[in-house]
Amino acid sequence: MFRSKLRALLLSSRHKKIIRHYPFVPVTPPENLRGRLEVFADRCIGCGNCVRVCPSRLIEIKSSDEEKAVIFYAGRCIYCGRCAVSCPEKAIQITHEFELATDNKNDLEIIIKIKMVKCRQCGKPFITQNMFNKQVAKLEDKSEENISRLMLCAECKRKSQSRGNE
Amino acid sequence: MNDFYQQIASVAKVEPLEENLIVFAEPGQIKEIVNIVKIQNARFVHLTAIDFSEKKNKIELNYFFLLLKDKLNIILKTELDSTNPIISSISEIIPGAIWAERECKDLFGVNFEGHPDPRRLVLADDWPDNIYPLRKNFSYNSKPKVKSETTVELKKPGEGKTVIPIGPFYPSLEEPAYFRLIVEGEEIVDFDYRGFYVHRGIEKLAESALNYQQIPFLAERICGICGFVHSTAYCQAVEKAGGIEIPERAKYIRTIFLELERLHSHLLWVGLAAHIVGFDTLFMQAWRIREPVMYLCELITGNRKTYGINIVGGVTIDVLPKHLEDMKEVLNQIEKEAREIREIILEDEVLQLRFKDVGRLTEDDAMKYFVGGPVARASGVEIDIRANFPYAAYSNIDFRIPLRKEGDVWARTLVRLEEIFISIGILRTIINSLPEGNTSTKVVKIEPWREAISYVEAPRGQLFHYVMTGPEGRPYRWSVRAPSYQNYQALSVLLKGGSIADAPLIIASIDPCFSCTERFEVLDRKNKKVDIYTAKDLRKCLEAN
Repeated sequence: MFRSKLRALLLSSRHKKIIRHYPFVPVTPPENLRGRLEVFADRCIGCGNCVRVCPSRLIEIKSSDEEKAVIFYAGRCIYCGRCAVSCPEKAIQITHEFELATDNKNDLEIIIKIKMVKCRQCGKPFITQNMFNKQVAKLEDKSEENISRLMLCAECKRKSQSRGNE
Repeated sequence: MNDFYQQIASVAKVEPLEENLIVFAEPGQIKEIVNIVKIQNARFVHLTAIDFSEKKNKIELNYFFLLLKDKLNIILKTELDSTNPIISSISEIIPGAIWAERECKDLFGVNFEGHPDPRRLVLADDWPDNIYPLRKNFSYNSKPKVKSETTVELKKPGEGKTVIPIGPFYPSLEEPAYFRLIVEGEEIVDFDYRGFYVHRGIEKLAESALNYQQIPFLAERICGICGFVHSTAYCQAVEKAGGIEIPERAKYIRTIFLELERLHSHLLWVGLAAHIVGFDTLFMQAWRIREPVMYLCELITGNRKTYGINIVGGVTIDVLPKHLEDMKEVLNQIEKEAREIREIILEDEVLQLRFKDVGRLTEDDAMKYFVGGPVARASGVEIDIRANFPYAAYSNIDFRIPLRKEGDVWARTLVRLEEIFISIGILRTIINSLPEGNTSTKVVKIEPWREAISYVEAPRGQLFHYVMTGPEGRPYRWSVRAPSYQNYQALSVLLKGGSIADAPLIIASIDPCFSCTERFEVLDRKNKKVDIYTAKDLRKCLEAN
């Protein structure tokens, strides 16, 4: 009886202080910690991969004539990091920031806006500016003509091609 | 085996498929076949329904049995008319099926004739009649109007007996459940349970809104302690159904986390049991010892719990050599300290007085209710899915299965303590034999209408997941049976004859996991105005008791 209690006493007395004085002493998060999302508006091409993979379904893309708005309702985020993995442009990054407590969950919302490029023939917005810039950068011959050809939406391109074939 | 096969084949159409034996039967033949299966000492696993009312106006019932000695799953299928699904109950033959049948009745509206206890199990008391949430015509985000008059059906005490209510918030485990102990003097003579307060509509949500790769994250949130077993079981089921072979390394990494989870879950339980009998030093020390495991998990995955690393096709992270070094260190430390804890428990006479001969479950009863995990092994039932149906990397690892015959709380404690050391051993083997390679494969397409069963030996027992793939990039049916679901049903046996003071300990000794058991709530009470109990109402409650 007493031997058991003595053992317990010994076991607990060997470890006197195990409390960490957080938040007075800051804690360094482990390397792989998945914290707050950081989204770079200048890289996003609006492909929507993140929308499809997010388990909490918190990413929404709203399109208008001028721009595409990508909205992260991050108050629902479970910090799985699937969006960052799926992003082809590395526009979403997972940071180590974890002190996100707030009394208003809208504080966590992230909204980025990407400009749209309009088709030079029909005037319909058909591609995001970032995606367009990427395509231009890929061109070997960056002549006016080539760039203006890129500014056609798929429909107008098909039309102009079929006209060319005639 | 052959006899048995022919016996079933003479009654119904049989189709062997790998390790499964699928039996197609008419509703009238179910009892006959269940009797044949029972003679073979098959374990009843689960009963689940699949709604095909839009496709062919049928509801398919699936009875899952498990033949341990032949390593064979028996899936007994029958089809009922969906306008008036009615079938005779098998609860008389198999008492372990009582809850499963009640659940089917609640969620699919299947009526079981001759059921001994046809009350509601899953649905809330004010849920409207004739609305069955898991049928496909019920939308996952609809909110039906609640019943204006609710009646709570509870067991009434007999003459000269008293009711002691525990709950609706269970004090020592700090989770919601309502236990009614019906006592005669000090002795518990009957027991009633009303739970399922923490349903979250998980199965429904997965079947109607998410895709294959999103569900593992939802599955992991079924449980806060052993969530990884759920995501693993789900991923394995989908991989089996889709014929996806995952890399060896991914299997080993899954095994690492399954074992780490068992390690900390058992240490947590040891602490809780000590806490319940008032030995708080042991409680704190057990939880302190558990802490390095959590740090280790955080170091590797980024999270203490709910690692979020399982996806269909493998795992998303890699375990680096430096992590293995850390793991070695942590294991050495835990082994040393867990030994001390074991010594403390073994030598403590007070603990022995409280634990021994309390909450006894005989081997017969353990077989009758198909309990699993440490509860079964403490009653002498040799079942460990890791050995019986090896999954992940367990087929390459040797380990012992601890067995005790006593079947009391003491035996359950010893089995769990033993398993801590076995887990440490398994982890050490993995550290030395972790294969190189990729951690995930790309999943291309999963064919619809395939089905698969997956078992995982969770810290609490045998976990069962069933997946039927669907045409819309998500499972058509995903059914989960947590280990506590079966263990709970044995509580009525465990508690009978015990004393009131032992009840919290006995309930805790099966290590019940409330959220696991109650995975799919559909009720939303947010929009209903808050009920305030007046003194009159409270008096009424007291009178009802």
